[in-house]
Amino acid sequence: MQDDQEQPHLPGVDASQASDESVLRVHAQIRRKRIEGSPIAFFTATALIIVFVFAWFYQRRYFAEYDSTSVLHDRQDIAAMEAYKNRPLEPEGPVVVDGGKVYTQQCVACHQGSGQGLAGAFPPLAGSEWVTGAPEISIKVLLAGLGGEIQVKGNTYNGAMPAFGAVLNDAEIAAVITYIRTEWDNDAGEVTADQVAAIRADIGSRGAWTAGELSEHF
Amino acid sequence: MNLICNLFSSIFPSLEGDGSQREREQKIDSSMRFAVLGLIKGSVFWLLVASLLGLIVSVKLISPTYLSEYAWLTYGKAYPAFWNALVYGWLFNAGLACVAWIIARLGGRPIGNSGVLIIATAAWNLAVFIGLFGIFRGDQTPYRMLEFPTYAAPFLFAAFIGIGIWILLAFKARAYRSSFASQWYALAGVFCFVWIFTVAQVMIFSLPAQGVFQSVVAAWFGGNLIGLVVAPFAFATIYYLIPKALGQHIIGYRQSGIAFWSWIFFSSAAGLASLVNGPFPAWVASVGVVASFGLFLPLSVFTMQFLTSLFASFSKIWDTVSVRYVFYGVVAFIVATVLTIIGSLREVQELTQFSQFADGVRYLFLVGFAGMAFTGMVYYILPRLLNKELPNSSLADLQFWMQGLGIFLIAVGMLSGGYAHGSLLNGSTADTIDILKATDSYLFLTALGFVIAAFGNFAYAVSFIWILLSPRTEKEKSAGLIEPAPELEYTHS
Repeated sequence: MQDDQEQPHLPGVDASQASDESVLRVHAQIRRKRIEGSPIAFFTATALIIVFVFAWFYQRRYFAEYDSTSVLHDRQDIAAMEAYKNRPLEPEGPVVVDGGKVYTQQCVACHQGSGQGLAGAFPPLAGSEWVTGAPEISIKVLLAGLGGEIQVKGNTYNGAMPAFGAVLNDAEIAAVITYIRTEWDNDAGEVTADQVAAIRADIGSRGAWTAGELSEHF
Repeated sequence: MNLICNLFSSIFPSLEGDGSQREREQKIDSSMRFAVLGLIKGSVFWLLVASLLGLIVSVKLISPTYLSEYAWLTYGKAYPAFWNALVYGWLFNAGLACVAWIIARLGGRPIGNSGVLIIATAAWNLAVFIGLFGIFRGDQTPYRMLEFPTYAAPFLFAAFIGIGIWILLAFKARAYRSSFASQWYALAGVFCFVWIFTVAQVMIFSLPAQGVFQSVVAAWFGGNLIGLVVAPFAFATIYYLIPKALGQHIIGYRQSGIAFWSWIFFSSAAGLASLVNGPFPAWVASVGVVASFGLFLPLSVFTMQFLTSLFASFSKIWDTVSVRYVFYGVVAFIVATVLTIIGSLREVQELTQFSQFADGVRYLFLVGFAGMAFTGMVYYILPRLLNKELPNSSLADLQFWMQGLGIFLIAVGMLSGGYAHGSLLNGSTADTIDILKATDSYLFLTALGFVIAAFGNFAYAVSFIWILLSPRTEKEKSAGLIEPAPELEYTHS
């Protein structure tokens, strides 16, 4: 009894119950030895099967497209993408061509942004009787070009206006002519693509016009 | 290869064969006394820091104005500081101390290069200090368990490389060619930390991956830091202590290879489960859920091995300081891993995701399992390193119950509080602030747990300083204080 009371509840040093060398040796021995019908091996195998079964059903549910809402979202996204790819590439409504833009691309180099041309070289468009006159003049000049002397606003010019019939289509020609006929205080009427198409069919393929040929429209 | 072997034999002279077994053990212990004591000192210091921070964090949740006049101690800084001090400060120091000692002892040879270990330990603790300082300064990064500012990372990495190389060299120099599970886990932890830390630093900070992939890497790292570094160190400790302190071989040890590889395999992806319901492809989080469920396999092997081995010597558990802690750790491990598995399922995360539930599981795993296992191991190591008895085993007794109760209360408070909080958030139309107030009592429980655990940690520190500083008695001056160990007996089972 006295021994019991002198013995503290917990010892000051945990006695070592196995030498390090024997720990290694015994466990190496256990690992080598096959135990028939070991319950631990049985339950380990059971746990392995449970894990595989869970993983199988979980991956069916979430990894691939087996009735998962997230995958349905993906499908809708794919359908939307396909619909976008297959959209009609031609616009459905009428094409609206910006005449100002065509003018900036094709005409400003000679006739200038102000429509004043360059004195002695390129005739002005602003206030020009040829522009604000009958629309056929402008359409014909645009389609087939213009050569030789021409009197514009009292000055004589002698240059060569190139033909744009092959470069611009009817809608573009109509738009740019409408632009020059309404810009810079010009207030002549609009020109439609149909008018251009009619004249294009009428004149066919030909060389540049001369001022004399066009003056019939005055 | 020959050159390397020669190099090793010159660094580690062969001393086996001279003297008795106990004398050899004493030589091993003295060869690394200073280095391992350094790691333990660091761990005790950071344990105190972490328990103080944990206390502050838990009180701030109850009364938000507490310490609010200190800008460096807001909740957003104290919370990451607490977790980082806990893991990098307390658990890494303690775990590396245990693992270094186990590797040296199982190697059966005195280890050279203790200078490397000492310098690396100092560097590691300096790095943790810099990191915590950075967090308080406001330089923290937003990724969980990577909050240390980027300028602390190189120090942390270099210091760990030093410790890791020491452990690898010690393993390489072993006298016994066969290996034990403790050694596998020790090496796995070392390799895994270098791996995951490099990947995380490179993919998040150095050459940042694009967009949400950073969050995937951060979740992967956070899960692996616990599962692939801290947990293996704790397994190493438990595998070693059960035969050493109980004289009981691990029952079902044949299955430990399966447990080892399945733990490494599943645990390395289990962290991704926290991404459920986030803006990620469904399969990423699903891999995490499946991997978490896969932990059921190693869990069942560990449970059978540890519990049957412990119960085989049931009467000795409570009368051995170190094994008590191991027993607590094993139970906490089982509970925490079951909760990890259940908590990863989508249906459960619907409820628990934005609550303290995950923190509770993490705390139980880190402190209840790893922390308690390391504490038990330190109580086994200390008398052998210092050749002294525990000066007051009642203090160790008190510490065990305080820490055990504290961890239990913290875990219960966080887990049930988190569950209640999540259920209320999902199932009621009340205001968020009212829901938060309704879960007040759980927060009180957690704070109470932190207070009690802090007392236990303080008792641990007192115990440690006491055994360090107490003068040696006549008995402690003799070499015969610690009895030579008997051979482990192997009975067929």
